[in-house]
Amino acid sequence: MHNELLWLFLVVGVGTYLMRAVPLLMARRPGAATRPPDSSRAREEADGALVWFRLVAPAIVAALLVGALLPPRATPGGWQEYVAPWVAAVASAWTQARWGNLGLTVLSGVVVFGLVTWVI
Amino acid sequence: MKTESMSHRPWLAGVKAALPIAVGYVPAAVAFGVAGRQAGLGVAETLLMSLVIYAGASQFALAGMIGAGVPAPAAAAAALALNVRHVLYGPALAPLLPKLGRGGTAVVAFGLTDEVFAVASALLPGRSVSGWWLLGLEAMAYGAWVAGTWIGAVGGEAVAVRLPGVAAAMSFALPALFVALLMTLLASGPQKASEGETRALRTSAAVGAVVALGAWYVGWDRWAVLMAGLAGPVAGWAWLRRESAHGATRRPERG
Repeated sequence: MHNELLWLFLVVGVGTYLMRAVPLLMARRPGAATRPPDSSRAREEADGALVWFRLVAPAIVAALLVGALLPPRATPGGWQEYVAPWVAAVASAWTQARWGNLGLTVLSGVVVFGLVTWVI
Repeated sequence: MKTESMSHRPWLAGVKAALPIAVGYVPAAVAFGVAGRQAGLGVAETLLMSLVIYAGASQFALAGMIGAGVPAPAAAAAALALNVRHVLYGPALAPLLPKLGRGGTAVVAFGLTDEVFAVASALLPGRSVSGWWLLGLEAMAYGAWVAGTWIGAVGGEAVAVRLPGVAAAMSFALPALFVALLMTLLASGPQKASEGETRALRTSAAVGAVVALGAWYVGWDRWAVLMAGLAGPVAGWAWLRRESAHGATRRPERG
């Protein structure tokens, strides 16, 4: 295994763990729940920070989705390269809206993608 | 208040509670195993990602970025940014958790994924459970994720050789997962979002998508995610500030 890959996995793994553990450990400190309320300004700032965090994920996931649906610019492909992914994405979206099940959503997208690719 | 006895049964009850998670995890993990191999990772590397990172969206994203040649620091930053929402789970769940020492809490924190958070949030209110229940829940979910990854990583290559059409179809597992995740994030998030926040989330996603499209068009594919991760939240934040200034932000009643 390449060292660079190992370090990459460790950094993301440790970082993800800390994002889960540190807030939980802080919230579980004795007296954390009975601490006097912060000032309204401090509460606003804390709420603002949380909202900012929540805004990051949709932007990144949307960018990843767009990137995954488009062929590489260097690939001299035809219109077919655009049709299958977008049709399958619509199928996945419909499945997710209908059942809200991750496994079904992935399965429906894969099946539709395979069928459309085979047909065209 | 229902109480679980201090025997091995709480652990089994936690395992049972995690069955719906496992059913959802296995196919996604198999798809990740295949995606990891398609990105050029070996079986051990793909499995290591699931063992160490244990966060589906960022793993898929990381595999895609590795395959696309994105520089490691940029890939790490994007993957971590995808997981930032996890900082919300601990404080939300803390009041519901059983008595655990610091060590127990630190162990439990590792398994705090989107789905575990969702199940725990739904099942814990009104129940008094032992730490064993929570460990059983998380162990089952983690085991399903790792096992599915191994199946996909090991079996994916065989499928690619014998059934190339199926292997090609499986390449859509990653985009399909992103569709599911995006829709979940834009619905209301792990905690109920106000109308204004929901619109801000959608603005952030829309701007992120447009920036990514623009980056693709000019040949900056490798930087699309980072650029979107900066531009999207700025736009969403600006939208939220505008809504607040107009007094349009109202929180729904908490039931």
